[in-house]
Order: sequence, then structure tokens, then C-alpha cells
Amino acid sequence: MAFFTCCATYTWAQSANPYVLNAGTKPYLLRSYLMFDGKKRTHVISVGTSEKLNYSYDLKQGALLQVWRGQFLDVTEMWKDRGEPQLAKPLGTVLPLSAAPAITALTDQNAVWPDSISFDDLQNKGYVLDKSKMPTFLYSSNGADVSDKIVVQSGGSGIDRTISISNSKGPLYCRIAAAQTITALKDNIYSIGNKTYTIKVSAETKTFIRKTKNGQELLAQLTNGTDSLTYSLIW
Amino acid sequence: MKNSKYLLSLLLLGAGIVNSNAQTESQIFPIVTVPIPKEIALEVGGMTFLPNDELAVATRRGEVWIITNPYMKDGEQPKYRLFAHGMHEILGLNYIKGDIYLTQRAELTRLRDLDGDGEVDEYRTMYSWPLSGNYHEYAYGPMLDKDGNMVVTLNLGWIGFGESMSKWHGWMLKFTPDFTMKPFATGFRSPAAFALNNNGDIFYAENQGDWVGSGSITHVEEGDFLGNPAGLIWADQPGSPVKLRKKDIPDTGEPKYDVAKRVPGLKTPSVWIPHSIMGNSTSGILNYSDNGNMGPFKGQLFVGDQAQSKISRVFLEKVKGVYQGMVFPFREGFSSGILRMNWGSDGSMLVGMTSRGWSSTGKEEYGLQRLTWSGIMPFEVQTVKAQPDGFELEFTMPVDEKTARNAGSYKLSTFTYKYHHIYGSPVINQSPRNIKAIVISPDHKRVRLVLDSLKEGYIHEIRTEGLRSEGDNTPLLHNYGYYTLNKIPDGEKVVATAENKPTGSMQTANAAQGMDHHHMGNMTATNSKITGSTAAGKHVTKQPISWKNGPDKTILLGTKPGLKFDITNLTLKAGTKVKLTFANTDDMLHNFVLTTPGAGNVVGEMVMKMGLDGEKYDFVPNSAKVLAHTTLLQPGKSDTIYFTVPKTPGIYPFICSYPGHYTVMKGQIKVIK
Repeated sequence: MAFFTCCATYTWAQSANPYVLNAGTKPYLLRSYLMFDGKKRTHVISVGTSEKLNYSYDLKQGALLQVWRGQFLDVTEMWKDRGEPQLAKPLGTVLPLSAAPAITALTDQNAVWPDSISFDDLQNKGYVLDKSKMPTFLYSSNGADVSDKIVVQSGGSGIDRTISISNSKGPLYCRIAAAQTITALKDNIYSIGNKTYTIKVSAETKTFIRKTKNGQELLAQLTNGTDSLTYSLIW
Repeated sequence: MKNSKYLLSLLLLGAGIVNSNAQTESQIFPIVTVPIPKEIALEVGGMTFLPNDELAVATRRGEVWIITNPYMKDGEQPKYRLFAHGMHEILGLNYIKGDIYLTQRAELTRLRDLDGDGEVDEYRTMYSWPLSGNYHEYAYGPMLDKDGNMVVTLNLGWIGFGESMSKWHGWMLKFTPDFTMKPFATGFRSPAAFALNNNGDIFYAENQGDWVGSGSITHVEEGDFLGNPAGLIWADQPGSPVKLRKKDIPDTGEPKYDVAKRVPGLKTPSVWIPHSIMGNSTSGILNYSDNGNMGPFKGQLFVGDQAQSKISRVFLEKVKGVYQGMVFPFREGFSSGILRMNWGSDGSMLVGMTSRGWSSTGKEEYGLQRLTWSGIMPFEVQTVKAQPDGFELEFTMPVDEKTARNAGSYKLSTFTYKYHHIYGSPVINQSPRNIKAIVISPDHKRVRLVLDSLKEGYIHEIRTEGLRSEGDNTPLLHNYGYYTLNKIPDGEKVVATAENKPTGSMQTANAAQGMDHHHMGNMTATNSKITGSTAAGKHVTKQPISWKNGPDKTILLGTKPGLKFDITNLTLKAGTKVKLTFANTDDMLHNFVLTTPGAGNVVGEMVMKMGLDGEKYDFVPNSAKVLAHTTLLQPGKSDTIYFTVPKTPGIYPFICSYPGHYTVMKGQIKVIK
């Protein structure tokens, strides 16, 4: 064929199902509707990588919804016929995380973590890609500008997430994990939900575990106007 | 024997039309297909040219492709490269002030390639709006208005009817240069396209549906309510310039024009685009600016149709401050469903297409074609201008005086549609208009038709089948169109004299038959009119008394999204007594028509020739090839019919005969002994 087409950023599985999406040499990012926790989420982006580590992120909550390994997405319900009900479906066993915002301002350390942030209280600003075409999500909420970079670890054992704030008017909190049980291991390592997955927080980050009605939460405070924290999620 | 008289006039007319001088669309406006690599599903949602004359194309799969040399200059193939991907059903793309902007379902997005590697690395959300998660919540735009604001429209969701399930759906929004959002107008149903005319006024294209009797294009001004009340639930929100509320909107089925007279703020179409004749699914609008080279129609609008894979031409004029005008056929035969049109640097028209989920006359799933002008002057009605007592037709070349003077060369009638919550509308209040006088300009390029009366607010069908060009006796390339008369202009009326008295008489069949369904139609040079079925025996809704033991077989037939029956293969014994319920759970109008063996396509094609009457007869043609049928069903409605399976074994197709659906929405009954 006499056409020149650019570098295959992604592939369609050639065989049976033309609606199976996978990353090629570069990540595939896809906006879609997505069912999570029994609710249809409308401002979601999913990221598939060549390491076959994938995740979904709610752009209107700043929430890392889920991670999974293996094939990326089935988009039959988006790309076939009219595309009803316009849902992307992860191909693999997902590890559900949380639909709640990652960042909030708590009145005190015992205040309840919000389930969601209202539509007008978070301004999503899109995302930028790094050299390897992995995204950093940008938004402002709670009076701060937030960037949320989520990349795959080399070797593929998990993902690294760096949340940075700037122009913040007051202290903010980040909820790193919520589960029935959270166990602190050594060296800023935590076992989440009876060994469902492991969180490793960077050494300089001060974290604390607190009890909630449903279990426990692992939080970190972002004290300064410009601040950041990094953690790894390994599963 | 009025029908035989009608037939005779048809034959005579047909005889006159057979003419070796006849121009063809393909001769004057050739279409060139731009090849698409087979790996790319170029389901065009948006198109824009970049400053270097590359064409950027956004797809429903969320990609942006950049195409170099779509003109195939020097015999070179076009080159495609992927610029961006992963967005949510892009249905608008535009290069504005040095950046590429687009709309996807959730937001207005700006794309930038910061590191210059040819791929986007900044996907910037300029404005985000809520969504309920309905598939029908589409977003279109942006377009720059004359004041430097960006314009976006949001589609209604579909839940058996159009509904604004999340904020600002059913609205046109404007964004100031700092991306402050200002709600501008509402009442939109499916506003898939909009454009500025040469005056910088906004026109948008609407599709037939609930509260929309037929497709149209309408001039949109701040605070307008365009007709579908769903968006009005947000009219009391801060910033809304719309004064009307849902309770203000009557649902009486009167013509929209009549309702608008007592409901200030309700806007009626500038130009109706009669459904099933001029199109089913009004889509892209392209202003014929100086960038185009498409014949002698500068300043007019080209309007695409997704379902019928064709482009119409619209002449607009402003009378008493209100836009109105005439829609003409222009070019048909594109390869897929037209959604977007743009001018190329050589004045050709790039036509971007997708038909996925909605069938189109052009059978490709998607496509990119280029419409060109050969330079041959088409013999066309160039403009039609309203006069106090009729219309003035202007031609692209002089008309033959003898045919122009003959009232029998013309046929005029008026009609309109119902304004109601029901999906679509039959043609209503049809009546013929008669010509009292004909004034021909000295240069023979203008003909003024003086009528017995005009009907303000009505669509005026103007047929000019008998006209010929001066000298070489060429028939018009297109000999009909529809003028929407919102205002009758003031001015001097023509006094009937012996000099302007028409020769001949208008086709008497027309005048005499009045409301008879024969008198209007999509009659073109080679097509004879198909009438509607009135055979009650083909639509039996009560169990026949002779069926003492009831039906032998009860069938529940439904729909699947994307123009499909949920059952496509049935096997039945000859003579089986069938009770069939067809339930339309789709978002469009459908019916069920059982045909004789091998006649599915034939019947489907016959429907295309039923003209304006089609909907009145549920799109069921009067033909022995139709064995049984349901009514045309609104979304969410069902119809139960009784019929006996034919005695002769064979394969009996069934189709939805709504115009254009039959090619995909079909199944078959295998009749066995």
C-alpha cells in the first residue's frame, strides 16, 4: 500500500474482535463512560500500557478508580453501531480502588473523607504526556492547582503516583488508600485490605492511618502551598 | 378518471424530459474519492484545514488524523499520520487562532504538540460540562462567531424521547476568548452542525424528531427557543437569556409558525428541508464563501444529509428582518453518510462521512470524498426571491421564453408540518397554488411568477419541470425546490395584463385534485410517482373471525440499536396464521413490511418515490409486492397485525420501509411446506 501511516501507537486485535484495544509500543489513553462501583462514570480516562498494566481515572474527581493487568479494553459498546451504552470494559480482573477524590481539605484530622466532589468544585484541565507518552492529569480543587502523574514502574510490578499541589491556600490531605484493614509494615510500606495490594510511600512523606466507620484510611498531609507526595501501588 | 388523466400528464411530461441535452450532476460536479488506508476507520466527526493545507480529520473513535495532499496533486497518494487519539467521540474540530480545538462528549478541548514530534502531548480541557451517561449526549463545535467567541452545541439525550438529562444539553453555548461560558439559546434536539453565513449570522441544522416535523436550518439569535422544550429546564439558571419555560409550550400539533405567533421567543426554521425528499438527517452546513469554487452560487449555503448521502443548496434572503429562502437539490451519490464539509485550498469541497449506527444511501461505513466543479455552467434556478404576489426565479443562464411563458411548465403548492411532541410529522394542509401571470425579464434570466395567493408561514413547493434553456433546449439540472415563506414582502404587485398572461395552463390534475395525494411528489425526470397503500387487508389489526382457534403462531418482533430487527430469520409453515407484534424500542421511526420473495429491496426503493406523502401512508407503497405491514411506529410504540403465511414455499423478506432503512433493517421468513 502506498500510504505512509504513522507509527502504530496502538493495535486493534486483528482476529476475532475488532473492538479489543491494546497499547502498542506507546500507551493508549481512552476517554469513555465507565461502570465503577455500580455507577456510570462519564468523565473517565483509561490508560493502557505496553507493560500490560492498565488503569482508569476519574477526571472529575481526581480519583484513581482501578488498576488491572493484561489486555486493555473492550470498546464494542462504544464503537459498534451507535455505541450504546458507550461503556469501555476492562479486559482483566480489576483491582478496584476508590471513586472518592484523592485530595481534600479536612477541617480536622477526624473529619470524614468526602465520597465525591461536586461538578463545579473541581475544574479539570486535561492532561499532558511525558516523553514516554504517559499522562499527568491537571485540575484545580480546594483552592489549589493539582497535578497527578501516574506511570508504570519499569519491570511492571506496579504503578507510581506523584500528586503535587501549588498555590494552595491551606493544608490539604491526600487519601492514599482506604480499606477494611491497613497494616503498617516497615519502611513506609503498608499492606492494604488484608494483602490485596501494597503501598510504598516515599520516605519524606508523613502519613498516618485513621479509623473510619467502614475500616481504615491511609492519609498524608500536604502542608505547604507547594507540596507533593509520591507513592507506589504494587499488586 | 382523474388518475388516468394524471398519468397522461406524467407521460407527456416524461416525453418532454427525454433530452440528449440533459446535464448530469456527475458531469458538472465530479466526485473524487480520497483513499483511506485500510487500517484506519476514518469515521469523520470533524474536519479542519491547517495553515499548511494539511487536512485534520477527527473521528468518532476519538482520533485526529492529519492528511497531507488530500487533493492527490501530481498523482501522489495522500499521506495519513495520527496526531492525537483517545478522545470521546469527537464531533467537531476547528483550527482557531493558531490552535486546534475540538469537542468530545464531555468537553471543549485544545490540542498542542509541545515538543514538536508530530503528536499531541497536551490535551487541554478548556471547558467541561456534565453528562448523565446517555449515548445520545453528543457535543458539536467549536465554531468562531463574528465577535471572536467559540460556539458549541450539546445534543439531547434519548430515553424514548429527547431529554436534557444534564446541564446545558439542548443548548447552544458561547465561550468568550477567556473561556467564560455563556448560554446562548435552547430548544435544540440534535444540532449536529452550524455555520456562519456571509453576514456572520449563525445557522444551525436540525434533524427530524420529537417536536421537529422535518429537518431544517434556522437562524439562531441570543435567547431563542428553537422548538424542543427539553432544554428549557435550565432556562431559569443564572446566565440564561431564554425567557420561555416548559409550561409555555403548547403541544397541539398546529403548524409551528402558528404557535410561534402567540409564543414569542419560539423560533421557526429559516428554511425547512422537507423530510425524505430533500434529506432525512440534516448535517453539515458550508457557507459558499470566496474559498469555494462550486459554480455560480456564491453566498449560498450547502447543507449535507447523513442519511441520503447528498448535499442540498440553500438560497437565503432576509424579508422584514427574518431569514427565509429556498432549498434545492444539489449533488447526490456520496459514498457514506455526510457529516462535515470544508473548502479545500483549490476551491473543491472536502466531504467527510460516517454512517455507523444510522444507515445511509451511500453504503460505506465511512468515507472522505472531494466534490469538484468541472467549470461547465449548470442550468439551474440560481435564486428564488419572494415577491408581494409570488416569486421571482433567477436562472444561471437565459431560459427559453416559450417554455417560461407556459404555466404548464410549473407546478406550485404549499404545505407545512405539525409541531408536537410526537416524532416527525406528516405533511399537512397541502394545497395547490395557481399562476396568474408570468413576467420574463428582457435578458431572460429572471422569471416572475404571480400567484393567486401566497401562504405566509408555509413551505412553497416550486416545480419547474417544463422549463428549457434558451437556444439549446436544455432541461434544468434540478427542477424543484422548497421555499419557506416566513414573511411576504411589501412592494408593488404585478397587474395581470394580456402581455403577462401565461400560455397553456397549469397541470389540471394538480389543481383539480386538491388534497389528493397524487399531486405532490418527488417526481424527477426519470421517476414516476409511487402512491401509498390503502389496502386494509394488508394491515389487519383484529383477529379474523375465521380464525376460530386463534393464531397458530404468535411472534414478538422488536428492534436493536443500529437499525436492526431483533429477529432476522423465521421459519414458518405455509398457511400459518400469524399474530405479529412489532415493538419499536429504537430512537427512530420504524415499521414492518412483509414482501413477496426477492422484493425487499424493490419495495424499499419504491418508498423513495412516494414523495411528501410517504409518511401519511406509513411509507408503505401501493404494490402487490407488499403482503402485510404494520403502521409506522413512533419510538416506544407497538402494533399488532394478523396475517396468513403464503401458500408458496420460499424466502419472504421483511423490511423496515422507512426511507433508506430497508438496506440494513431487514430479515426473512422462510416458508416451508
